[in-house]
Amino acid sequence: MTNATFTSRLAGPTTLRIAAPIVLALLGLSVSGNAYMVHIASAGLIAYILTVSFNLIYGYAGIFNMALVMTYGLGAFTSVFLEVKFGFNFWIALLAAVAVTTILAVLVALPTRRLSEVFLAIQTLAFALALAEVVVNWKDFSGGTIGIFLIPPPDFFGVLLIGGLPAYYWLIAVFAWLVFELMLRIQRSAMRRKFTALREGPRILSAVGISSSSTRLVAFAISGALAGLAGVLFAHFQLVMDLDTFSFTRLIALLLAVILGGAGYFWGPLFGVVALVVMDEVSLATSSAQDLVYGIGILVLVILTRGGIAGAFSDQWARIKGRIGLVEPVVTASDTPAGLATAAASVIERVERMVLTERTGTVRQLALTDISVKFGGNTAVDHASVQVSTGEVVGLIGPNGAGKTTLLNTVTGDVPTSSGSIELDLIELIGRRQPEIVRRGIGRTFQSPKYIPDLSVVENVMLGGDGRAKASAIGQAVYSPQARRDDKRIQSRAMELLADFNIAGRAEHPAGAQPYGVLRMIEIARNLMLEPSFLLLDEPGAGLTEFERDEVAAIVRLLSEREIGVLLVDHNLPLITAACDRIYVLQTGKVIAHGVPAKVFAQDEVISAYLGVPK
Amino acid sequence: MVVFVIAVLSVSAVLVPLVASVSLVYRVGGVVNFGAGYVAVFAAAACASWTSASSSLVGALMTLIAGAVVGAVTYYVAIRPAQKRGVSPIGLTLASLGVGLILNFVTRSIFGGAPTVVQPWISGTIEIFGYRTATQRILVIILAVLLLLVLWFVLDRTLVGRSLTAVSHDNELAAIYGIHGERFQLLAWVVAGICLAVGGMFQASLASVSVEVAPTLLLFSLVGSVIGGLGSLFSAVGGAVVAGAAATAMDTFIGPGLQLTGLFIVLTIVLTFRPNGLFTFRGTAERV
Repeated sequence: MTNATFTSRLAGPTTLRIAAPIVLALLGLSVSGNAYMVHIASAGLIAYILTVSFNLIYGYAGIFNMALVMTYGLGAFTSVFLEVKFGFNFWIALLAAVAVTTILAVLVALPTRRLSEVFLAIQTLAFALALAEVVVNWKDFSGGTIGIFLIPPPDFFGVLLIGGLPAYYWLIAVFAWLVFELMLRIQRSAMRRKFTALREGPRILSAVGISSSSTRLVAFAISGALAGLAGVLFAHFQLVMDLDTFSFTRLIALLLAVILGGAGYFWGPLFGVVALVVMDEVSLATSSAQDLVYGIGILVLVILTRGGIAGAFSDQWARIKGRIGLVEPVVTASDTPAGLATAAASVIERVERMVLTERTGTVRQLALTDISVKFGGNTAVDHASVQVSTGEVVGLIGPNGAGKTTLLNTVTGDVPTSSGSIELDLIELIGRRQPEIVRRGIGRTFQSPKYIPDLSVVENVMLGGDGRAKASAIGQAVYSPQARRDDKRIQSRAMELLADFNIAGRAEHPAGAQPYGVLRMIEIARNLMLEPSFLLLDEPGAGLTEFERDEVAAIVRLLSEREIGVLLVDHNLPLITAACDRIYVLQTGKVIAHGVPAKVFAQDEVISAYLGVPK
Repeated sequence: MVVFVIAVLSVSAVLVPLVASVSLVYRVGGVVNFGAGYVAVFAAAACASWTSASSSLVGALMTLIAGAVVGAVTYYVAIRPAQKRGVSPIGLTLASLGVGLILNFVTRSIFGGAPTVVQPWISGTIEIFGYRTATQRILVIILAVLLLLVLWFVLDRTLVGRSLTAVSHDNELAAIYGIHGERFQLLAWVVAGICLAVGGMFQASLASVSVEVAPTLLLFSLVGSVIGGLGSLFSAVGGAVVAGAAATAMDTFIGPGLQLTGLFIVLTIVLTFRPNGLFTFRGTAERV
């Protein structure tokens, strides 16, 4: 990244950071004379916190958690229950309630681990309605169907903050500011990259050694905590509440606020809440017509727009920036993948720098012994054995359906084996989870390059380093100094790699808009971020031009010189012959030949398997 | 015991048309219909109102037609436009919820939305193994079985059903063989709308129905079909019976007002151990 873009990135948040409390203070001052306006401003800020919570889990992480509205309700009831029943003071009750909702959110997350989007929605909806039923039956806690009336106001050093009055507005404003600040930090941190990857390509997460289930838990926990906070604030604002406040209708309003504002956008919740407040004020969405307005709203939004209000603004902004030439893509001749060929001479010195780790001189061994894989009654891989050492390039060839990719998939744990063993330096890998396999030094690419369209090119590469970041999940979420250092290191490394691949000019562009050759490079660069001992490349030459393929062959050779062991699946014989030290030929899951390329290709069986010439 | 069995059967009888509807549109269009509860409630209120205005038969027939219209409108207004724009499954689900909300507004404005009951189609009581119950309850159970048989025959034994299956498996391939995918999706939504109307009428003829129960009915029909497995009509119906049994068992043995909790527990167990549904028996291994 050039210095200019780097500073502009830093400058943006700093301005926002200063502006946020000022705006909140101005809002407070301007409404303070008018009780009605104070009420609306307070309610709006609470709605903002709740909407942020749903935006985080659904918009960012792509998890349609319908239980969130009950999480919000539970926060409200828990805090009041602790105060009234056990005499807790407001602040302790607040902390306790947030802790309870965080734990609850994690509990929702656990059984829904493997569910697809829609099934998760059903499961969480069932949870929400079941929990509502239990809570309404627990009359001490919820006041049953009647609700709770005497909610004590918080006490701040002797000042009573009574819900609906200006003093309480300031309390809410402080929390809203903190939430805004938190979101600002998440927006800049590795956490957002991880959430986006969770939403758009969970397989990439595990391929870079990040556990998608713990990323998921973090998303649930943060959004649960925020929903709980909103609930506590809401209870002490309303002073009266019953379970109907947290009903299905409330859930729909929340949903509408998120998609109307723009799911997944930083500004989405703000726009959504303002829009809903305005709709309420012009009494579009009150009493009997509410269902109608919400129904039409959802239909129109889902069918006609993508990204709601924030999405429309961001599209418009991109268009304006494009017009005034702010982001003229820096694409030079050598920047296009085809242009890479012209730079082929310098590729050697560039790849020299690619692998940062100190070379130890020790040779690591990856040995697949007697591997079989069955899909139902089909045997895809049949007692195949393959060995790779660091520093050599081993090719895996064979006709379509021979089991090459399946064999590759067994190493990373993507496909379960039915027999055999996979050992890395005599340590069994079968049964280990993918992130651990990656951390032990095995990286991989996919047959069709996998990338996160919504992240920029450099962010896609940075994901590879995020699995090895030192900061904890909490540290990443609040963008702690450690997380900043991680980010800086990972980013400069990613930029180096992009420069090495001659695509640095595209670093800030969305990956979704890149051509195929660049996507391939992104994927390889992301894997080099892992500093692997072994790299499994699944058809890296597919879909590339001849020049690009030569480039890939050169890169692969140089990787091996830098003590990386490469297992290469490809169909392209020139690429295989140019790049590989040894090759294995697979046919119907069996290894039928193995050795140096020239000798193997001379064998009759191989010719017959590949070209169909009778033996 | 007899009491329990009859209670389970009568809850299941209401659920059978609902889950049949949910699983049908899921199979054909990949949409989980989040508007299902609202359609059933609309049908209940409509049938109650129209029955008192004319006769049971006319009321029921008009409700069935209304159900078909609602199904067709849902498809044309929400599902097809969304599909054309490549909206994600969750978006399609939201679109169906949008239609449900609009329908709920219609129910409120036309029929008031207060709890309503449909006059039983058959009066009196009947004694079964020493247990006396409303004849209407038994009638509903029998009608549910009949409906199931008709659905099975139409969806499984006719060319229409085969084409529908073809569309649900591979719309593009079906189109190559001259099947109009859209027409069959429309058909699926119409049949689904009729089924929801039947479910709503069944429920309202056994107990009162108000707009507040829409989310509960929705949940029952979603969970029932997921428990059984969305892959086929009969697995979903099996799920309806299990869901009915779980809710009734909660009511009978634990205490009233915890039906949904029972449902949630069963759903969690099923999704943990048999995520494809209790009655899905296809051994398909997924390739990565």
